[in-house]
Amino acid sequence: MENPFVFDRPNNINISEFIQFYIKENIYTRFLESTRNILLIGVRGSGKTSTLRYYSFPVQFANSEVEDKYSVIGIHIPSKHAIFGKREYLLYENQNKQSVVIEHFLCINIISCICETFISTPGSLDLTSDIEKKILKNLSFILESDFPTENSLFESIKLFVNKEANSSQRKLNNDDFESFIDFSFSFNNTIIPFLEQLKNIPNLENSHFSLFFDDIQDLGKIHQEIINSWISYRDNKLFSFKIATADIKPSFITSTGGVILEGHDFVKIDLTKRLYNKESEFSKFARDVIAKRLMIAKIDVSVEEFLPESESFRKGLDDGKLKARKLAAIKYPDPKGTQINDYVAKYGRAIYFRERNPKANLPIYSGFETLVDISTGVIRNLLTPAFFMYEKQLSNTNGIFVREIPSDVQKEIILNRSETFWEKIKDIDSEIENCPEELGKKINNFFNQLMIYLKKRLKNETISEPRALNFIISQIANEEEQIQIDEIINTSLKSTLLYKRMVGHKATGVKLPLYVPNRMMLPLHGLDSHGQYSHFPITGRAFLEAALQNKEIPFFADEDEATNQLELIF
Amino acid sequence: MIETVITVLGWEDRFPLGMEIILSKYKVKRIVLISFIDYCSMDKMEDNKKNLLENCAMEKIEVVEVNLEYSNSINNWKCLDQFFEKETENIEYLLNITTIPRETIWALLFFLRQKNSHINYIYFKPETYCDGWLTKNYKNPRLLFKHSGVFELDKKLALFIITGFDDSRLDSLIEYYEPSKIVVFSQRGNQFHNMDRNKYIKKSNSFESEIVEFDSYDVEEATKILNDTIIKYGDSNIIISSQGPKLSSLSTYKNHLLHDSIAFAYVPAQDFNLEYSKGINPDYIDGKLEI
Repeated sequence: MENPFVFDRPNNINISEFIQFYIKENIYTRFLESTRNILLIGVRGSGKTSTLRYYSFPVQFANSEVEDKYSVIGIHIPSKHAIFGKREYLLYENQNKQSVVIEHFLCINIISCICETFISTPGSLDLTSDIEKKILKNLSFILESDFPTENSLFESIKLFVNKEANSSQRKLNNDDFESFIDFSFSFNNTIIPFLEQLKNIPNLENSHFSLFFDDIQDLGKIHQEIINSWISYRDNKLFSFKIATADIKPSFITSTGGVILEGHDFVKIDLTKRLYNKESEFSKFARDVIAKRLMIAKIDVSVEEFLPESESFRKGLDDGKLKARKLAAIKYPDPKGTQINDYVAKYGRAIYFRERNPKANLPIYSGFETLVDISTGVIRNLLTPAFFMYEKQLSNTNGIFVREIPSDVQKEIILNRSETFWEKIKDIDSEIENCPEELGKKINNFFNQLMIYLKKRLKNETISEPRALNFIISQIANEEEQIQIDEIINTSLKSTLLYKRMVGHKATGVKLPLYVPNRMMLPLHGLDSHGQYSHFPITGRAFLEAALQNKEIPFFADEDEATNQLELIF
Repeated sequence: MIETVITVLGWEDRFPLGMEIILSKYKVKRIVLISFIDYCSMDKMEDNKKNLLENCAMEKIEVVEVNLEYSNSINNWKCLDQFFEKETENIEYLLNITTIPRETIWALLFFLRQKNSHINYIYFKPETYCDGWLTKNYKNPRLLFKHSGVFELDKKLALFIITGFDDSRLDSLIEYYEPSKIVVFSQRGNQFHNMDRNKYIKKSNSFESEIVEFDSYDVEEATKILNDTIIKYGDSNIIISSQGPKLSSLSTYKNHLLHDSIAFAYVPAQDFNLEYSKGINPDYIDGKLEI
């Protein structure tokens, strides 16, 4: 029986399955269906490709819920193709020539993706042979090329671009390198005329073409500059761009050295924003994802029944709350308002985790909520452990229908994934480009010290937020310190050991980054992955001493209170 | 009669010991000594160079020095291009591939091909490799200039990896290219504790992959096996990365001549272990390669 939690690359799933699995998030609809340029930012696994694919024409056409299928034609354009790894353009001394080569291949890919979009939706355009002939004739004139005529319109064009792709690659690989420049595609001379010709198709007469560039962080610098130049076109009647990137600092430079501006040239959507939302929007989304997959797999149980919480874990947490309530009663003999309940909410879980016998086994991490917690709000981090839990249980039951994942299986997989995560941290210098051994060591030191610090917090009975997991870096003394910190932080962000979001100081409005550790690192250390809606400061000096000298991160309980006057920027 | 030996200055024992063997076996007129200047400060490099230059002076062998920079593949290509532009045709070259990075072996074969229809090659195995890491701190993989294949837009990607002892170098390739299929060419036999060290074979179970056993040291056999596999995966775009013994660079190059649509990928490392290998196995491997 097929694992319902398979997290394949969204491009590999067929359209009907994709529509079944995908959970539409209406907050993006307005943007993705608009004719504006959109920049979609999200960490790896946050659903960028799924979102773009959902709004692409083949999926919209097949989706019975979509009424107007032709107003915006979404063309999904992946950037991962090996063709973009070619580097011969770097051998040109002249930078203009380099750009010419890159733009040529970008255009070839766009045309190919447009053709593939319509080839994969047969019958969607009600094409007549007269229209096909007219478009081919016009394109033949515009591009000064002959098109094969015995195929359908888009197959003919695709054959033509394949031939062009082939011959231009051979030119670059061979001696007539320079001849490449004489004939090449550009957005102006190829894509715009091509899109204009498509308007001859009655179904597309009033259409707007939305070009979805996916994962552009995989493209080179010049590629991104060229795409930025296209984004800077002001007239968005015929086309617009929806660009998805996992880059933590996307470039906004154009090929002429200008910049594209947020709000003016494009609207930015941060897919990670909702992940750490106070109201836990992600938790609702995660529930929908799991419930839908259970339904598709005909596993007729609730999410909680499928992922039950261990009784001893539940009992431990309940006992913690009970103890907290007793302590609150002593602390507040004459309680006002929600004082008692607030105290229980703050300290109940902490008491369970801090009072566990250090020699006892690790807590039985289990239950849907725990799965959501360890995902740190990234959908791939939610589905991957669920996938392994399902596989394990299927093997335990010798392939018999799985109706629930017992808590001990959940715990085993969570701890196993946590261990794998720490192995990844240990080998970080091999995982990330340009991460020297020394930097890898600093990252290891910092995260090991962070775990020690979080344990200390959890055990401290005086601080108000013992389960806080997120941190800000305060009191950075000078630029040199900032550079050293940035090196460690940026590599940690790149490898998803950390996530970042912006917070603003309530009083001053000053913006600063809040760092959210990937919670998968917590179970192996027996820490509470649930966390608290709060954060703590680490001074620049303490951060660097932890990373460089493996020194413990000291407590700054007073500052804890002061810096908590921050709020998330939505 | 060998007119010109092309070699890369190395810090391993097998560089000076190998050059001794070459100079005793062949009557050499000229040595093209390539140095990667960003690694010249490594221990033994200076001594190895000094000793070689002294020997050459004694034997009246001309030495032409070519300085490259490991971290600057663009300039290296241009530099070799300029160098070979001035070379006369039909010189009898001997390529000592022992300490040449694979990317440079391929580049040299490209330029040598314009000068001659064949090259002679020689390869010295070490006595032992070190037990720890060999290379680390990798940069993103890159396709070799002029050998970046002819990719078809519709085809899926098959990644051919000739495995070596550095697992994470393989991981970085897989992560970077996200291929649809991985074909692992694994070295046959237990030399240098090959079976224990080639851990990737066990790990690869989690990918959609095929494992093909071959002997990189047998250039002819490896060429044939590679050719058969390339034909088998004709419906895919193919990127080949050689991480195994340097001789596999020759069999992959032979296949590039047969199938120019295949691409070569190289994963540059920034750190090399000073104790990479020890000693030299006197049973060197040499031959002639039609190019």
